[in-house]
Amino acid sequence: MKKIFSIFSLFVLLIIDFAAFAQTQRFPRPEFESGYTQPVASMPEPRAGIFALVDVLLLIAALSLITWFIHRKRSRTGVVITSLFSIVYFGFLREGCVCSVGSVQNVVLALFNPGYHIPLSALAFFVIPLVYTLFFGRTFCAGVCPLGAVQDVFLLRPVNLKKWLQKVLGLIPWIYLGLAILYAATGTDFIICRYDPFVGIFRFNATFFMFAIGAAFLLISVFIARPYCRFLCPYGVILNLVSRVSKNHLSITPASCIQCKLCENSCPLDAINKPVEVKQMEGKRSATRRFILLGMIIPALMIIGGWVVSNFHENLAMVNSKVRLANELLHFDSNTMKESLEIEGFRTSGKTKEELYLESAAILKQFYYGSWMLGAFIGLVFGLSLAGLTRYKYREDYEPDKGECVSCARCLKYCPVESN
Amino acid sequence: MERRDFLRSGLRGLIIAGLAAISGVFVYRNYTTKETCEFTTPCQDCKQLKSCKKPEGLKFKRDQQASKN
Repeated sequence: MKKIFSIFSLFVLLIIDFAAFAQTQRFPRPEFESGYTQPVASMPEPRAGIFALVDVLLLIAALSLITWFIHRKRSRTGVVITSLFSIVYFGFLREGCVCSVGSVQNVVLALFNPGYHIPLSALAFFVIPLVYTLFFGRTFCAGVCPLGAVQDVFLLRPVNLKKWLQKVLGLIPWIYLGLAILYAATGTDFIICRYDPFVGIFRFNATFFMFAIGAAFLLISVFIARPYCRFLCPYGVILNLVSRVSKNHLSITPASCIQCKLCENSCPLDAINKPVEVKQMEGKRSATRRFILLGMIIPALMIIGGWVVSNFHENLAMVNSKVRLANELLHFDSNTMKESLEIEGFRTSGKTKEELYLESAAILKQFYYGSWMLGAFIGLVFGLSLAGLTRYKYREDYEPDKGECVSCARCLKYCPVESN
Repeated sequence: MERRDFLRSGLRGLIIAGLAAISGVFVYRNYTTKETCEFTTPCQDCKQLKSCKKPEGLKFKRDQQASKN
């Protein structure tokens, strides 16, 4: 263990040294008194590419290492070490960018806008954790994501929330994901990055508002495990779904469960499913009635959701700077009002008002259809959550909930069964 | 193989195929087409920021100034 740790530390130190060395300007740029200006380099900057590659390689290394710690070594200590590395490297050194959580928006923008070239590192940060999750569960959340890791190290006195509250709060990430997709697809904004509570802390440049939100999340993390991951993270929603079909998920016991109940309350995320006794089969008539009812409720919720949200499409579109500017120009009166910086900038750009209004109208149309889809999506999530409450699943052993479990490995030490 | 395992492995295959296809399309597009998208949220990486007169650029510079003060 010590040997592995020292090799790993050496590797990390080498990488950090390499980065620091490459960033130093070895020769100062000459200044010419004759007024000569240096031509702009026509070649792309090579350092950006190399560092993007280093980031991706380190992501793969960290994911492989933490997966090995969880599945082979069954070691919580290993998870903590990887978490600390992620906080230092992906958090403070890389300043929380590029991150998998935000990369969702890059992918959405690239899907809806063929003219956008997605940075390959962003694509890799989106795809690689998904592939690992598909095979090993949410090992990315366990300690490679700096946002999750920073909350995890703050968890000192875990308190379990009521199940109904967890279910209700658990709907928020879906809505947030829907909004993030709407804003990225329309090329409006990357709201996940803009309202990331921890990035400002990692960069030491948070506004007071964002710092307060980040600090509040960290304070809540002392008692409630990973509040951002569970009740806000949009990438967590995708990982949750993918993890349900994972090939090799973490298991609490290394062999057969002896039903000792020691692990029952060990999970701070309340992600351990307890055994469920065999229930008497539901009558065919009642099951059919329930199925028909749900079959009617879900489409109805989707239509209601779509209609409600589409009524707010103009408000949602106000986040778009072009729509906002067009609205501002429309209501601008030069006699009584002072010109804002945005209007001044627009005048110097040489664009006509009509062009801006046309662009704005096109964006509003996108928002109208987008908000219908967003509302229908929210209705679908509500409907499926309702349907999930009525679902019965027989279970013999204590098992981690494959969707909710972030593979933090806390429960492992509670199991008295030794591996064969 | 149980029915559920069969469905799960099928879904896994579908997800991997989907991810591979999307990645392939994006990489191919990056190397064969010219970028035309105007979306530039990370203004701080933009080389034209200093002389930028676009509303987004102006707003970004104003926000930067405000956060410094």
